[in-house]
Amino acid sequence: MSQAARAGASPAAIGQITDERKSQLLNWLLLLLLVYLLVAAVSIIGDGFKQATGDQARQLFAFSSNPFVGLMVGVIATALIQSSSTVTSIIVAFVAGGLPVAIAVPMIMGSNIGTTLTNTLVSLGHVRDKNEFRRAFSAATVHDFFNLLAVVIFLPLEIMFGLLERISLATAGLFYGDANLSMSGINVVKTATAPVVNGVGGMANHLPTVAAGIVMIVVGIAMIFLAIRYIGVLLKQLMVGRAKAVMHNAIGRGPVAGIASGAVVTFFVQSSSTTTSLMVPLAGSGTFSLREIYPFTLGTNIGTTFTALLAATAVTGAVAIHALEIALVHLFFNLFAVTLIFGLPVLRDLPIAGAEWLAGLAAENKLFAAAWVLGVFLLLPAILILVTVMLF
Amino acid sequence: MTTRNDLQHLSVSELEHLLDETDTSIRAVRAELQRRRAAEQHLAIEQLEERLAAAKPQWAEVKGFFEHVLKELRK
Repeated sequence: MSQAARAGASPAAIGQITDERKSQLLNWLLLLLLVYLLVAAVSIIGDGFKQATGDQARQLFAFSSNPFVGLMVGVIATALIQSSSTVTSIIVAFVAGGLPVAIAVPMIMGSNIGTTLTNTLVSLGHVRDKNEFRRAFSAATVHDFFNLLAVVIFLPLEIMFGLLERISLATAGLFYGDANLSMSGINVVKTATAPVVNGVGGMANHLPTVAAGIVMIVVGIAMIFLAIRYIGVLLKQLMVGRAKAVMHNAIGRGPVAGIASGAVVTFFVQSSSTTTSLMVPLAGSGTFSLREIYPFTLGTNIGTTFTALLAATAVTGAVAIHALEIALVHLFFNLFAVTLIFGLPVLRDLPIAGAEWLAGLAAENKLFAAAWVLGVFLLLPAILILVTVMLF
Repeated sequence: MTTRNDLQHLSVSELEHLLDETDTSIRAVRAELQRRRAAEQHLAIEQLEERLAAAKPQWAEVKGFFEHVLKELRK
């Protein structure tokens, strides 16, 4: 007997509860189907990438072997697609298809910067009221400044020592063992996704090899895009109650609770752009201060790394370790950045100072806000890529 | 409101008492402000569904912003 029936609820109320449960169950099943499509899409892109590039992935991506270009590719791709989860999942798939991890690491870092464009665009909607705009714009750009600072610290360390790559490879090794060993035995993920992967591959096989590879990449990217988009839509419906509880619990409990709630809520809705954009109007109205929003924003960087880890589970065989490695790079980069920058008092307030300074300028003259949006996310990356490609 | 002149007429113990009272009042005001702020934040979180649905760039607003910038440039 259900709780409602025990409590003496009317048949109509019981019927409504049953309908809600059915609808929830259907949503969970749909969610599973979308995760399945996401995982299959990663395999399709990986196979397509292998087919399109042969063994020439390194040469094909030679233009981005310069880490600054790789970084800018990540910035622009994420700024245009407005989903770091999509871009990082595609990068995982490319690594599975043979893209060297060293080339992919700066792209992952760039996607962290590119994803901050969304909440900055949301803040532009507050332009009519000067003080509201200053608060909203600073709440959005504190994410920009934090992620830029993280890249300023960790990209040189990566170039000099391969810090993240080494740590991630060692960690991935714990799961997969030696990179040269192929996984033997039955692989559940591979077996489960084989019908979809082989189906798309079979349809593309009528084309010449390279064209077939490109078609598979395009189909895979479209599938990832749709899967992540609708996973977000469903999770918002399914997890909003839990997300509320997490956020209620974090109020007044300090920055660590703020970071944890940002990570958990982002994990629930699978989109850091959504969670950071959510806070911008609340900052604009003055309901949350910049110092309260800052830790939450840092948590979103951690929460968003789950999608790439999920995508990496799709990859089998000898490259599986590298797919997991690049997904772990995303996780460790964000974990280390939060620990280092927020942990050190000398660095902690730099993003806040930068955001307040820029928001102060932008509130007086909106040209500064426009220059920031167009310059940081589009023009500067595009010019840097163009110059590098033309010169080298 | 107590002025500096009034304070000069008070004894040391009266001044200490006044300071204690003021301290208690300030703490109470701070606590009340914090309580109201937290209540406002809890209320905002209660509307999470609507806020999540609206948490994306509104392109009309972005366009409006750039029109605003162009207007400022022409001034």
